[in-house]
Amino acid sequence: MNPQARTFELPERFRTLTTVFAVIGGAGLLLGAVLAPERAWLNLLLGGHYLLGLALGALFFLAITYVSGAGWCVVLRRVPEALTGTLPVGTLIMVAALLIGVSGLFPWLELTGGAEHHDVGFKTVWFGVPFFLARAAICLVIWLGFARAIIANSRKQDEDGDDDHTRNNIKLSAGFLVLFALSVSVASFDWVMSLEPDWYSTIFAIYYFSGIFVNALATILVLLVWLRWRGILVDMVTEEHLHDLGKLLFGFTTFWMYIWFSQYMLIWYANLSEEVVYFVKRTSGAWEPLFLANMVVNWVVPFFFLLSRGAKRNERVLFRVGVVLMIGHWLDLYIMIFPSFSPTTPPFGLWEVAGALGTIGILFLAFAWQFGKAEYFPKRDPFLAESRHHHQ
Amino acid sequence: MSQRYLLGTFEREEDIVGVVKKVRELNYKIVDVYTPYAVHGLERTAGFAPSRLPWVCFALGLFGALFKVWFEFWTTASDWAINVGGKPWNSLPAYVPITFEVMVLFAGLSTVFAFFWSSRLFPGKKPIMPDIRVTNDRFVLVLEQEDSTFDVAKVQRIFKRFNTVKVEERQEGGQG
Amino acid sequence: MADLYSTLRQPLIAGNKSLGEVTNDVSGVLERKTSPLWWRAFMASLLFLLIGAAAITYQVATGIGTWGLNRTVGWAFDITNFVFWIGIGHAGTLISAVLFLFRQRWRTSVNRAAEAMTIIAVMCAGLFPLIHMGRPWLAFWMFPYPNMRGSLWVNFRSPLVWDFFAISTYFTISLVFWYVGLLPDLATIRDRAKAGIRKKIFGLLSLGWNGSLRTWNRYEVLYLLLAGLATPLVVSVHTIVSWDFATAVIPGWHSTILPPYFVAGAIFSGMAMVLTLMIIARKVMGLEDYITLRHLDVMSKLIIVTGSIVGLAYATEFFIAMYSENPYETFLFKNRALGPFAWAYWTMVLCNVISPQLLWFKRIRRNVAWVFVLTILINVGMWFERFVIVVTSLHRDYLPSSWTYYTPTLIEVLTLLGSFGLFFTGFLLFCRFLPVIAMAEVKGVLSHGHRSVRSGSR
Repeated sequence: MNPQARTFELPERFRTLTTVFAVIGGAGLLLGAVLAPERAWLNLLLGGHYLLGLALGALFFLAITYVSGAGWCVVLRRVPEALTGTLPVGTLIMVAALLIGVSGLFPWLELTGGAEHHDVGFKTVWFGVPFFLARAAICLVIWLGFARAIIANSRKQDEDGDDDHTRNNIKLSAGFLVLFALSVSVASFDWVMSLEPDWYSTIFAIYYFSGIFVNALATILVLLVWLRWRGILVDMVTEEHLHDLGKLLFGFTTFWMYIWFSQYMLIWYANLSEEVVYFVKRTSGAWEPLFLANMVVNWVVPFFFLLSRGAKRNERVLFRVGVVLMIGHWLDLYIMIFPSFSPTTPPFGLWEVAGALGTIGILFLAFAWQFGKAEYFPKRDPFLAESRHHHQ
Repeated sequence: MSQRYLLGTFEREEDIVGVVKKVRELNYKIVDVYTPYAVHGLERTAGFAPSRLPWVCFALGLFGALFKVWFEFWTTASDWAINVGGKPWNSLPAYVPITFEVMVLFAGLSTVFAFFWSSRLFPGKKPIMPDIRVTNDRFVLVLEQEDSTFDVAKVQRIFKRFNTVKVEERQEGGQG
Repeated sequence: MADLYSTLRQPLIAGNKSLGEVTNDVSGVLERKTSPLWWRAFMASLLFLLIGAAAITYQVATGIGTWGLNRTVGWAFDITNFVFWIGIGHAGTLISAVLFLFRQRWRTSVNRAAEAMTIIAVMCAGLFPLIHMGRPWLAFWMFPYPNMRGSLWVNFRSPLVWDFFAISTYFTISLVFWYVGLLPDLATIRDRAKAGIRKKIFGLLSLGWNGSLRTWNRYEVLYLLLAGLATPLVVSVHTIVSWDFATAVIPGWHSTILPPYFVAGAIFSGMAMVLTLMIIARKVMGLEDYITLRHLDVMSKLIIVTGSIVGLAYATEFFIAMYSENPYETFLFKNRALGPFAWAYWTMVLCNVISPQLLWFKRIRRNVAWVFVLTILINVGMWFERFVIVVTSLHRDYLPSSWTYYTPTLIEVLTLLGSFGLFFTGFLLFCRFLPVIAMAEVKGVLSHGHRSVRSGSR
């Protein structure tokens, strides 16, 4: 028989700590809005990308496992499901960041507003504020809709045990993947690439996607191990499941490096002035060590630490590498966003600390809120038995 | 002292897995198991040590990559440096692709040769098999009769329980 | 050890086969007399191969001025064919390595043939740069050996040199991977053969394989390692092929999305070719129990996935060309869609993006005739994709007075036909002399899905 499933509550001390983090983040950025509006906004944008990307990456994980008929991950599915459930939180922050951005901070605003602009180019139309906001709204609504539907099906199955929920989710996932590919392209061009309004790179959406998916995998692992250390899912999730997640993490960090290198190498090689400007900023002055550190944290560390079979089955190693990658993704976003505004020195101070702490706090609170909404594992999923007896 | 062996032939994967598990529990010495396809996890059940091929792969791959980086640097920036398209002498990003390819080539070929060597596979080798059908549809377990305490009748009974189709005893040289 | 399968799973291999039946079904084909159908197909392929050989002899003897190239279009048919064939090869490695890592067990029915296809396709591809050298007997100059010219080393900064390393590594590793996979099956055939030449040859090739668990133990590790190496390798190969174009500063070629876009396109085209071949092979060789409708279904889904990525890449390139407000980029993409080569562009879009959408319907995915037609269209479309990328980026350059058109000469067309001759000749020989289905792997998944267990019953 299945062990009885229960629902989850965050441990008292942890709840206090994360709440404090979230409050520091919120208060810090509010203060920043008065004292250093641009820096505060950039941190809000970064936090929005971080949380939204995490939820989207987790949703992508759900969709891809449904579509490929992967049975192995069913026992741990509630973790990515809960992360997906945090999507509204990320959405709220992103909406705030976008609204503040269009009120005067996005660097492309000068293209659309000024009367001196006699030449109406593509960007004048593309970056018209209503059109920009409409695109954002469409993307967010698509994601929220699919996230809600897929999670609802999975939770309903706990009650009625109907296999049709799985079949429906497979269909929903296929639809989501198509729309996701389009919407994440638009979102990454609009919300990140446009911070350098004259620069463009066709691979950018894939680069952005690879980052959020790696971060989602890393966070799933970190949360899973953390839950196991609290006695949750201990006998359900075995070394085999961790091993598979470890392999995915290993594979996708390498994928990230591959995409990163493809973008960098081609721009370096062709050396066209309108393209290299992006990397010139990011390799000049104090940005260069961070630029190099980005590769170390996001690829070298996971590659060498996860290469061996033993490491991918060791929850301590996985937890640590996961944490490194969670920091790594923050750094990656930081390098994508900040140099456009501060080309020579990487700004780091109160606002960045507040932003990062707030992100962590909100992440855990939102996750706990969602993870507590359902049982620890989908107890009546048709693939549950297969997943529980998963071995190599 | 001549070696004596006991061979049990089976028809199904479940039976061979079951019988191997059983004789391992009873501490009989498994000489080898012959199967028509890779039965996942059977090597662990039989208590065989994991292969060390990954180390060959890692070491030679690393060697190949390091060698190639050095070689490209030496030829392109030192031995006969030529300015191509204004690229720097040490064009590290441009060295990455071939370094990767050479790493894969070294790692792959060395692992395959290590496999042939450690498994003693070479062209012209006469296959030594307990039964010609092990490459088709038979599973054979070979036990060594270590000393006089080896109770053939008892082992035969175990084999029977796992639906053996044939049990036979062989002297040294009769099998692999 | 009993695996548990959800009730939503279906058996991989139809017909409830026993181990012996698998051996008989697969090796039996090789032991029977050659069928007249095979002879007819073989003679036809051989004829194409000979025509190609004649065309190659002529162009090597005369010079590559026999091609339709001109001052503006300096690269066209030859490189198109090269990229086309390399792309075809990618599906084999995907099925043998990537799907192995993802534990997609259905791959066992098709991986052998797909890998054989890879090796032959890479041979076809290698032909073209070799011819393009003009003096193919000096091809060894590509290799960085100490020489009497200095030593003058090859230019390691050149993507064409990267290509040389990528293709030769890919060929070597694919061949080795394929051969290692063949070992147990070669032994099976050896042990079925009566004494004679067949027994001798297979005895030599099977290296004394005896099915020992000690060997299997190492073999499984080796297979995993090779799969782990082949996966990034296959990605790197088409990536490097894309860099042949993308490192240049020519609009239409220089685009950062090219690496993943080319890799997806390669797998897309290769998967279509595998399906084309498998649909014929399962019919002709009576392998319907092994290559089931479900296999067509899954592979069609992979076609949708990779085809969608390709479609997204087309759209992204077009969008960024507009977004960049770079007049040359914008012109190039408008010219692709509306210029003199619009017919090629829209053929590509129709075959690669529009027609594969039919595969969203399960009824079409499980209809052999429909899948066959669609895969042929994809093969055509993917050839045109490379043609469009190569030629439309060149034919209207920065100097309008040198704008021109490109038409292939008869020699170029015959060389392409010759490469198809080589491909089918090679594949037919493979089907005739080697086991088309990996017996030792299929035997391992026979029970898959046959013992269903309801969730929560244990």
